[in-house]
Amino acid sequence: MKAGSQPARPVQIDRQDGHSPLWLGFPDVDPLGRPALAVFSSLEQSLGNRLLIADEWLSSELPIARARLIERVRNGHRIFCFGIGAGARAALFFGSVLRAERVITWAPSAAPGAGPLDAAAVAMAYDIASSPPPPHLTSSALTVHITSSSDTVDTDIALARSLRPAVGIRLDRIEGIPYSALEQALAQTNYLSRMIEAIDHGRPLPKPHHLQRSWLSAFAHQIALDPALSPSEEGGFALRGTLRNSSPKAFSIERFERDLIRVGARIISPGDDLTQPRSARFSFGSGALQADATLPFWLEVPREAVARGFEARVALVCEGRFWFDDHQFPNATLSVSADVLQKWSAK
Amino acid sequence: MSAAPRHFEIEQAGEAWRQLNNPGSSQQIKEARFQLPAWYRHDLDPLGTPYRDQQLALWRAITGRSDYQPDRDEETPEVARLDPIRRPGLYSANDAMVAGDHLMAMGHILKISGLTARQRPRILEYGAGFGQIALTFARIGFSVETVDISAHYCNAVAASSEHYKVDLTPYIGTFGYNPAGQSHAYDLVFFYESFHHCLDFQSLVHRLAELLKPGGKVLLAGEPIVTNAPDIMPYPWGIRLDGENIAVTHARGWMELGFQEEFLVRLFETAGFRFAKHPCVNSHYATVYEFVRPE
Repeated sequence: MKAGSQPARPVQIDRQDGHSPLWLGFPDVDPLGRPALAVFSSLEQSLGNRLLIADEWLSSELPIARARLIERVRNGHRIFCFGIGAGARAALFFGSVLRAERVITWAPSAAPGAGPLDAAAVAMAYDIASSPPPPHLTSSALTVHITSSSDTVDTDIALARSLRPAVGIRLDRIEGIPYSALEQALAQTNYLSRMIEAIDHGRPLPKPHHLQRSWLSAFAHQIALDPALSPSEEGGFALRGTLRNSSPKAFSIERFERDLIRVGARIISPGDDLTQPRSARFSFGSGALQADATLPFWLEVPREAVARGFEARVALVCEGRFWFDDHQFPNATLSVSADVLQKWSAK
Repeated sequence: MSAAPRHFEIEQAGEAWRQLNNPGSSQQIKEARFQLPAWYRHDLDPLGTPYRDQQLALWRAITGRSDYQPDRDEETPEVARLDPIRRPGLYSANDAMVAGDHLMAMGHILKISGLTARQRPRILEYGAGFGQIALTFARIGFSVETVDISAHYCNAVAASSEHYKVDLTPYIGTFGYNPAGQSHAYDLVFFYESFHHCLDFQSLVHRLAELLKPGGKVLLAGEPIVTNAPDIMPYPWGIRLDGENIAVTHARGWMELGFQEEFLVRLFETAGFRFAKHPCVNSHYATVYEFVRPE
């Protein structure tokens, strides 16, 4: 996967007061090869000018990225690095290079082909960690935090074992959430803000036990389908419905677009391969969906499916990553037989 | 009348390992003793570096390895195959006596800790393995951290923490690593069958005083601390010379130390701790050594 095919949203703030830790976020790579920024936007409020998005690691050669980062953190006396997946490996690598105080990672072994850093390169950085730091960076004891998603436990442990033993490595696990859904779960909850607040105040870090439950609450929504189909301009049928925001806060539709979140349908007709459903998508556009408000959508059911009858299962989807209804979020289904369709067509 | 134990030379450690795994000779090896090599000096200061270096030389002679690296030599890779929730170590030995020993030790440690949730105690266990005692403390409602050099064991503790949804956090690290990141954070630091794997226990004892709150305590249980066993522990501290231990050390590379009680207690007292011993007649694993940091 190649990064940088589309420009990253500029969320870079370089100033800080020199006493509070500077948080360096290393973006993962999204399914389109772009820096994945969802997780950082939820932190702008809590971190303000202490947040620095280190996306150069994806677009520059590593020595150049290293030099740029050293320059950017010149006034940072305390540095914390964090990231998910490929971004987590970057956080580990540059955390060692920059003599960070903490490196906080989620699923660092995930997305093995994404970005220029693999686990072996990360381990090598820890082998040479005894080399003197750049003179303006303080040397401090490094704590590494690895939280594994449900599908990265074994490979994360292998990566942890490759790091130098003098490092203290905190291990956590999230049983209910795989890597593909991790960034959205973190972005849509206040888990990261709580973690930062805990570190700022010297309190124990929050446990990830409740992340899935928080996510279900923070991103609660309902999907309803209109049982009446209407012919579409493309020769199929338009399946209409509404998305209701049943969470306590507004959904940002801009973020949906940036994070490739859409309404999707998996459409199966009799005789189809169940593992290869036809699909349809609806993109929201812009604006916000306030708490308790609804947003209409429509999906094109293709002509081929209509002729034989179909079942459409509709849910939110994060393109290239996961379907929300695979993680206890709701879906809505509509089954229509060929006979009924013929009657409707005859009207 | 039982036969006198056999005596082996250190060079026979490999042979002892083979015989230990042979049901016909296993018991004989368990009762056997090893002799110190001729080059071993008894006149060194047990608190000095030459003494420590000599113990390392003995370890090299037993294991055939060149240098001791805890992250490599203390590894227990088979742990990854065990189910940490249903059948952690104490159950997977398939032996009720083994499980009983561990459970009695657990109960004794819990009781002697004297902690209640009202105190909101913070606890640290070193060399936690599957962390069953740490988990029990966490299930009572305490905040518990574990440190172990083995990523596999830490992973098992993380699985238990997630399963029981408790405040239990594992860290991969060495003895003395402080997860709290600040001094005097812990009410209790405990070791179960782990302190004797620490080669640099002298500096660790002083470190423990830094980790504890005033009035906090260190508990040791399941440790090979002896009062009168000159054939196994002919020195203040060092590798235990019983046949099973040397055989296992040869095969696994673990650092399997033992301590004369008087020496170890004096070490803790010199570091400012107050000592109490809590024997258990039913299981030596459950004998607890309590070292309190004065208020």
